Amino acid sequence: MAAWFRKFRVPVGLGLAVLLLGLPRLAGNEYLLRIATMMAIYVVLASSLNLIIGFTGMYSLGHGAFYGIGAYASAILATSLGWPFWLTMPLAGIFTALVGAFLGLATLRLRQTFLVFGTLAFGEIVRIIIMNWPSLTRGPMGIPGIPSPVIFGFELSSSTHWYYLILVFAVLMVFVIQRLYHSRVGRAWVAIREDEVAASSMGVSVFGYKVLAFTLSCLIAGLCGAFYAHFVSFISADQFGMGESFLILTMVALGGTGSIIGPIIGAIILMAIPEAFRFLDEFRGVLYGAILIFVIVVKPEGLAGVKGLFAPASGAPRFPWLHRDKAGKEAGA
Amino acid sequence: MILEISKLEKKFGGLVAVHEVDLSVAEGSIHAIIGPNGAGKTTFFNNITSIIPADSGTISWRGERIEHLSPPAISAKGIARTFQNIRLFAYMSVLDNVLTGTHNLYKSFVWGAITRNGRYRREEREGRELAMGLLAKVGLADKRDEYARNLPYGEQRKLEIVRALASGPKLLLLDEPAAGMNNAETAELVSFIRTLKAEGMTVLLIEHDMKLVMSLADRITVLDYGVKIAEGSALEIQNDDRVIEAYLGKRRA
Amino acid sequence: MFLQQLINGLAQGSLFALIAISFSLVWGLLKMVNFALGEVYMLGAYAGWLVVMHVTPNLAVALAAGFVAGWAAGWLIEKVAFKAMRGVPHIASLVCTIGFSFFLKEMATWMFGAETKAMPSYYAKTAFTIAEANVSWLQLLMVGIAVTMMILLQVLFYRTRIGLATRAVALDFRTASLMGMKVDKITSLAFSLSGALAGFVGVLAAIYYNAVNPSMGFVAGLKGFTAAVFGGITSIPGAILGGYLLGGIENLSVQFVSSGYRDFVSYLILIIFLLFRPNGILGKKTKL
Repeated sequence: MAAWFRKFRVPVGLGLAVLLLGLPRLAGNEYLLRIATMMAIYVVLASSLNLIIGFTGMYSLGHGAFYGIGAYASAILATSLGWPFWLTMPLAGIFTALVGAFLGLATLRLRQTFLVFGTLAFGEIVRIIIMNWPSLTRGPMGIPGIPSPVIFGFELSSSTHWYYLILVFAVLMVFVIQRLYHSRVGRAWVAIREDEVAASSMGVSVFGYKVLAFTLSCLIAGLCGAFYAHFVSFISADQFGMGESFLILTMVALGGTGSIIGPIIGAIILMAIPEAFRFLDEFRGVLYGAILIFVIVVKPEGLAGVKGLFAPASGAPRFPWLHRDKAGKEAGA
Repeated sequence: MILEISKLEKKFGGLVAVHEVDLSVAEGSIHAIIGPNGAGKTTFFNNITSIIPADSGTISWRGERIEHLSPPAISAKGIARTFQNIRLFAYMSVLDNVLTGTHNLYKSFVWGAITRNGRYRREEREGRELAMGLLAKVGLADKRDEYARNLPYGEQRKLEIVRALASGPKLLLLDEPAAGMNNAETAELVSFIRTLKAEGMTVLLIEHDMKLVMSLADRITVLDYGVKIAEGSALEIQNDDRVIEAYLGKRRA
Repeated sequence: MFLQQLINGLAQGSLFALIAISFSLVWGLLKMVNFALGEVYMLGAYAGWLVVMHVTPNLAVALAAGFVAGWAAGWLIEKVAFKAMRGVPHIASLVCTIGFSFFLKEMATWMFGAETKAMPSYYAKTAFTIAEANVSWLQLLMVGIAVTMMILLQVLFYRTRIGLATRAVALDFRTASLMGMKVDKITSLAFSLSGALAGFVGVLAAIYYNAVNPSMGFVAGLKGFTAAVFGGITSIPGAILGGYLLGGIENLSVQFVSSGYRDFVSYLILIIFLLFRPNGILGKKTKL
């Protein structure tokens, strides 16, 4: 399939560009446009989580928390200090990156299982701090009235404006990630995922590159948070808990770990499902959980992922009972 | 002596894997380490490259003590290795595997990767030329975009050696490079290693294939149960009683 | 006040200790974690609640229901997330149990609603008083049940053949299977037992807090895991120690920090121990 893509690169790319740019016209109503905008944000969030999971093989359940840190940082700077979006947004990203670097330095030496719990606990700690520091964060009441960005005196107010702004942000971020992936840095990351010992012997500082991936991932998540906060103009801590981390994780797991297109597909599918199947709305969480279970068991690397992380240790077939030969005996029994 | 190792020691709990081993490797020579299975040879390699640091002892590389350095640092000093169980980057292309070997040679980092500035583009170009040159030498140039795991066994071994060579090392550690190879492939390997030597490479290799060892090695060290039991030229080793005993057991009276 | 906190800590510690043991059982066998244990605990709580609401107020029956529900859940999770994933790197199993955790929680929300439901009290009256601290019958019962469970487990593992087999598998999986032990059945048994224990504790917790809620599993699971790491996840005595210590520390911490930060203390302990002493208090100082 990838070969097909490569051949028709130009027309597909052109078609996609037309579709994306013309979406506000095509969509026709505000509601769909807002969905598309959120989809774009999740594309970036999932792609940034993939930096950690798919590129270096470390699983994090704290991404929702970093998303929240970015959102809160930008919201607080904008509402308490009155700073403009163009200042608060990058600062929020940098702050989130610093927190991420700190956590990464502390925890990235842990084995995978413990890292998951460590990031989970961290996410909870962030939520507790936000809830219990009302002078800074208004505690459980959340932060309302986050202002819209202003470009050259022109205030971004309509859904169409927001759509284009976030579309540009998303395209830029995916582009940056893609460039990183196909570079010396990306090779170092993939080498770490494939075989840390060999990577180390080839001169790659494994821990350093893991921290780099984690920090960049948090930077991008923080930026997403800032965009989100100003887009929806009201945020509260319960939007950024374990459920959010789980959702982003499922997007990456479903769409595909370790590839550029994987998280994009995952984000689009998981955002589209509740819209396409309205009647499933109350069932949504159950469905997401079932999706994750199913994907991991059947195709662990996801729909469009790279097998690297999940390659079986031996060559033996995963499901022996699926491979009976004509005589009816199980293969390799 | 380009590599001087003195009294290297490594214990795993109660098991002594390497015991007070001394080794000196002459520059530009091919030095082989042989010994029965479990003699501690791979552990010895792991100690040299610090993947598993030794408990005590000294390792001097070109006059500099390196036993406290990390594996990436040792690689940067010009020591490269291959592994007993091939450790290629399986889901990475052949070319990318070799390019990863060049990691230490270049400096471009996040900013360069994103902006694709002059330095980045120059380094990528140089790296690719270097990698393709090496791949061509072993006949793998046309497989550059294949996943490493899809290569047949013999070619995987070649790729691993080429990846190690990509960093431009002065010392190449080969851990059982001929394992699983047939006679034709082994002969190809022997001539390849001879070419490396002619180009000035120092090679330290672990091997079980005696024909290869005896025909290639300038000097042979024999380990048994982590202890050096003999050292010398091929002829000397072949006639050493202790070596024969280690491999075959005591002669019956 | 101090003494009351301590007594509450003992009661709550019993809960933590039992959940910690559940984690320890699976870890000891496979060096893996069942992320969904908290949700199995929650399932057990709901099972007990259903029994008490619709079948009989008998506490023993409710506890049994939790045990059985947990056993079933543990069994299912083993089959899907572990047995079907043999040969795949362990991280996949962990992520699968993360999926189960979410799935079970959302299932409960869908079936029972997200709001907290009241669970009737049992034995809530004060048994006796020391200084100014009250000890309720329920608290006594909880500690008693926990200790009984621990003794039963000890008997199971050290006095029965199946227990011996389980310990053998835990020590050396490969050799045990080469020796002809039914490793599959033992693994399944351990998972089921781990789930059953969690489900059982869930009912106890529901009674203690007089509430069931789909989210109750998340915090309990995380704290149970914290307790296991704290005391030493590789051993059952470690899990027990960690559970009671965590219960004590958490309850006493209310003296020093506001109640909102109570959970914070536990999570901080988790992170500190993961970083500096992942083997826990009782664990050997080897590479984990």
